[in-house]
Amino acid sequence: MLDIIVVILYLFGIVFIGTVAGKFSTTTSDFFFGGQRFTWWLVGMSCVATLVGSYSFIQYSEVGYSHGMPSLGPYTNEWFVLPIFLGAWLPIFYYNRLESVPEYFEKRFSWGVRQVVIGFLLLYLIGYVGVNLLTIGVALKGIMANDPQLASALGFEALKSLPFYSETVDYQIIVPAILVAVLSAIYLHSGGQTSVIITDLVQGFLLLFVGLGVVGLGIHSLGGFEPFFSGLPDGHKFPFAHFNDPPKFHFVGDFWNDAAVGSFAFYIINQGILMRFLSARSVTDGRKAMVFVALFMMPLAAISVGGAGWVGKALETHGYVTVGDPKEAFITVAKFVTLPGVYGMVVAAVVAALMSTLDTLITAICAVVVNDIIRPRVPGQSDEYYLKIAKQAAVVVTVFGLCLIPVFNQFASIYQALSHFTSILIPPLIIVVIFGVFVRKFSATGALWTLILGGVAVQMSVWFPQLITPIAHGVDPSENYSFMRALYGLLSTSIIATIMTFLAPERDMEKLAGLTAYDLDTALFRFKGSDPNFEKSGARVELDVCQSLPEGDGDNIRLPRSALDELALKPGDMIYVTDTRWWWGGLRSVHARVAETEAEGDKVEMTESMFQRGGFYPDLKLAVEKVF
Amino acid sequence: MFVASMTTLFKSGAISWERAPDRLLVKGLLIGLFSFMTVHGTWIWMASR
Repeated sequence: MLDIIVVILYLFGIVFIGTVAGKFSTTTSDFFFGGQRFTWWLVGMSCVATLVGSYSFIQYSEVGYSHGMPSLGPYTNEWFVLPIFLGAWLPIFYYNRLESVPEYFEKRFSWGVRQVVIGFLLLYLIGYVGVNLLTIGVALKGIMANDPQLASALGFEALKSLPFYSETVDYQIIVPAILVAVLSAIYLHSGGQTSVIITDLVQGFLLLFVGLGVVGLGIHSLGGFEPFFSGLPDGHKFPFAHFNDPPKFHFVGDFWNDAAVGSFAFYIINQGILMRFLSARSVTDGRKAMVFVALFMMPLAAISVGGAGWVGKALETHGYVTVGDPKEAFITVAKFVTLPGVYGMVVAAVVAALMSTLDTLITAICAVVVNDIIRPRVPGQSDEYYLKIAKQAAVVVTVFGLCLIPVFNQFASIYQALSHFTSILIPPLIIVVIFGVFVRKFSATGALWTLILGGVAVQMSVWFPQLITPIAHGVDPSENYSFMRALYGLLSTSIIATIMTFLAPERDMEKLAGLTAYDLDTALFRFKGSDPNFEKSGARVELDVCQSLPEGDGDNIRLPRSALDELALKPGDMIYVTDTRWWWGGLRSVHARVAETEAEGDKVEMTESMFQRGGFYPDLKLAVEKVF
Repeated sequence: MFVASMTTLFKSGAISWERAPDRLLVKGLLIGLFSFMTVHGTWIWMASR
């Protein structure tokens, strides 16, 4: 009973926090990008909750139990994507003020390529929403199967007496999914990305705390690190898997499938993840957030989700528990090491992993619907109009996702067809992005044919697996090369893209300005409206605030001469003004420009509406920082 | 793969020493990767003892 109270308190706490944070969301920019005001640690921390999916604890603890520490692999592969993401993709999006992945494809290539990518992206994201909702149902059903008292306390037995009860409906999957979806929809409707980032921060902490807590308690109950390590078979202790064996889990497959393709798809093509980094207050903070995520938070999350499997193996060796089915490693270990009430936190962490992934996906779909479908067809409307559509879309997408649960649950072939379709298009999309960013001569015709022929080439390898054999690195073909297909996809599509670059080269170089890695300065100029100011200066100045500027002054603010000198600022430069208390993480902040005239006193002068937008307090100092 | 993409970004001018945030980025990446490699190296050495 105590466990149930903990879970319910947690769920309502999250909705409360999300709804309160939603008060800071008043424009579409706030709804989709959190007003681009958050600091790196807040973006990074919230990102971890998104990246850890609803099934991660069960799936990676299973790998950890069966294969040991190589279970860290899939979560520590992010660094391959760092150069292109940090050096080109993030700045291109941020400085060109692009709002969705398909929008880049239209600007860089053509309207037609954008439409193909919209269709693909919507299928990918909506399918993901349905799968996530289904997996939380399956995960919670698994927990209840281990704990019949919990199921009966939650009222699933009582459901059988209801008049509309049907044996064909799996209530233990459907009911938790509906509950979680409705709760996410409440705070999403209220604040979009702003609410998502703040709730994901809390959920990220919980995930790490619970996962690492289970590992720590497990090692403690074993009697320390020595019995823990001695309880693991030798092969379980190394950080990497075997090079090409067994066919279901090997190093070279993990590299090509997860590092080279999976990470690219997640950070470059997944609209939801990209939007999270675009919510940072500057490109520099977005980059810091990504480095923080890839090199620090994800390795920590990997231990958090997979560590229970290692502990389970050691506990079994020493005779404390019997795991039996590796899929149950996480639940078995969590139940063994926790007391009532604490186990409730474990269940809450599993729910948190779902909610944080789900809310990001729904915000991403809303962004694609508003920015790629509604805005181009109904242009020139007010921001309130698009914000209203975005909020309605959040509810519609959630309901649609719920409708997919019984479909995916009963017709596994539909889900398989969907994931098969996305998996054959992901390698061509990655190559089109890489060529789009680095090869100026790569044209719209080239991009379209690369997507089509690349998809065909990957599909051919499904029909004729022997096509992959020459590059299979000696992997056994019994698993139909499910991992090595990624390398084949990248290679074959690169060849097609190279041929297309020569056959149909881009001629209009002017249209590419600011959209490739070769002229980011153009994008910087476009973002600011004048030359960027990278002159060396102090980090920040703290000043009192006064709301004395008339409303017509837009985003301009006036600073005293001392502050202008300290920060080496010129009129028109972009600045960031924030509450001085760091732990707000940028929630109380605004972007502004330096006005032509200086402030008369020793205060920062702004308009009342900007003061309100920043959520500032009149009697507290503000910190001013130079952007460029 | 990592080195190739970093080199391409430098050659293309997407990352430049002229811009202070880019210098910070490269330093951060190198320190991060060095720590990452050190942890993995130490781990392999410990596990193979």
